[in-house]
Amino acid sequence: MDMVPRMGVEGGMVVAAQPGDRIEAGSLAGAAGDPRAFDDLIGPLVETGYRLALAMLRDRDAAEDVLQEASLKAWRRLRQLRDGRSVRPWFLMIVSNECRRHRRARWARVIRLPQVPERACPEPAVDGLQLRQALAELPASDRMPLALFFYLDLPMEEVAQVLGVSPTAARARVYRAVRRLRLQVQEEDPA
Amino acid sequence: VKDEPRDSIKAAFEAELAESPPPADLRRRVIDHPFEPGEPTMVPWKILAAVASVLLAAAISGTLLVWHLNAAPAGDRRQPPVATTPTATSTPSPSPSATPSPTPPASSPAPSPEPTAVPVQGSGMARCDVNDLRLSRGTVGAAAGNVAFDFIFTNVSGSTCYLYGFPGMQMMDSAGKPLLPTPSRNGGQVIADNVPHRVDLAPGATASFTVGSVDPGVVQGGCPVSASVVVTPPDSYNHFTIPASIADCANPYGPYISPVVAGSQGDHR
Repeated sequence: MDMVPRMGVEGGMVVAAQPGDRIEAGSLAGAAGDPRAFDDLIGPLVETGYRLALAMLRDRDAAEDVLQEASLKAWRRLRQLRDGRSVRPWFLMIVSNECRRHRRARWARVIRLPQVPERACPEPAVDGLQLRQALAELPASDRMPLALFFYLDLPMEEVAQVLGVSPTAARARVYRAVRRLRLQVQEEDPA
Repeated sequence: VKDEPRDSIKAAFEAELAESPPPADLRRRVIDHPFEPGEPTMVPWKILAAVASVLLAAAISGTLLVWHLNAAPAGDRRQPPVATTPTATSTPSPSPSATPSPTPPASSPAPSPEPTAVPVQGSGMARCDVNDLRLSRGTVGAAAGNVAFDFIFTNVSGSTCYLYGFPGMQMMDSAGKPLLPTPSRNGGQVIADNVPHRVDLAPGATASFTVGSVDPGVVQGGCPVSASVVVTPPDSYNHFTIPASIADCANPYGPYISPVVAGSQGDHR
């Protein structure tokens, strides 16, 4: 993890986020109100946030909108992030809440349609295609733990923080989602 | 939880990502959002808070002074009001600002000593939503088979609000059914600038965006043409519906949509 030199002021240390790292926030007094420090703190998490939002919403534009809203809320709530708490699950929890809010919105329910792929992709193997279809048909409440644990590689403690549940409950939700995914695949391919 | 399905689940999510990759400048778009130019800094906010607190304290003192004057017996009206209260000093000033308050002010004039980030809404500037806006069609320009449709937002509210980013658009056919694809935010021959900028809209001011498409006659086999479009202002879940005939072809013919820009001239080349 890289130190951010200008944040190394008295009592104010913020560790820059690196993909895959567990990010710790030192004293955040310097980051609140400082756009550059905010960029250092949240910027490296933007792509992870996009991956989560896309996994939840399956819509590129909606994922970007949600991420912008999450960034704005993170900026407003940065002071609520206490020292010693990890930044990544905190930010991803904001993203997941925004995804839920987006899905609840009437616009999303009535109008949103799956996007046509922008680029041609290699035809996936049959197994992969079935799995993708099964994954797409899972409810968002099951896609979320799968995305957090298997796709974003978050440790179970962070999955729990993002979901707002205990680690034991988070583990159970991942189990349950995997079981439903398997059932879904079997339904699509009884043979 | 066993890791057995990890690779296959990850591959499935990655395949979805490959179909909808993030914009190359996603980080800048997302992180710059809260700090667009025009964002009030914390200094004016603190000054305003301090001034408001001082005025509030002065108002409370003045109110109490008047209350004491009215409450005193008629014969005492010429006496300094502070003399009737046990906590008053002997300073016989009738001026509320010079009279010590018999009770502490309700709020301290000193703002929080900690640096405070000022959110957009905290500054009093709100995002424009459909209740603040009127949507109208602007000019339609065509060249070399490309067609640019401008749409104009006008602030019809009584206060300044702002727009930032891309509007949402869904094209509908004459039966009211949605057409695919939805406009893309990246590329096209028509859009001049794909970079979002914050646009502050004073009452009566306008902002606009452009939808780039093609003359459906230039596409072999033709394209469906919308009868109306559903438009959501940026970051809103509410929408307008407005008649518009726009060809809804697949890439690379568009449609493409621009971010909101200031003025009514759209964002086309």
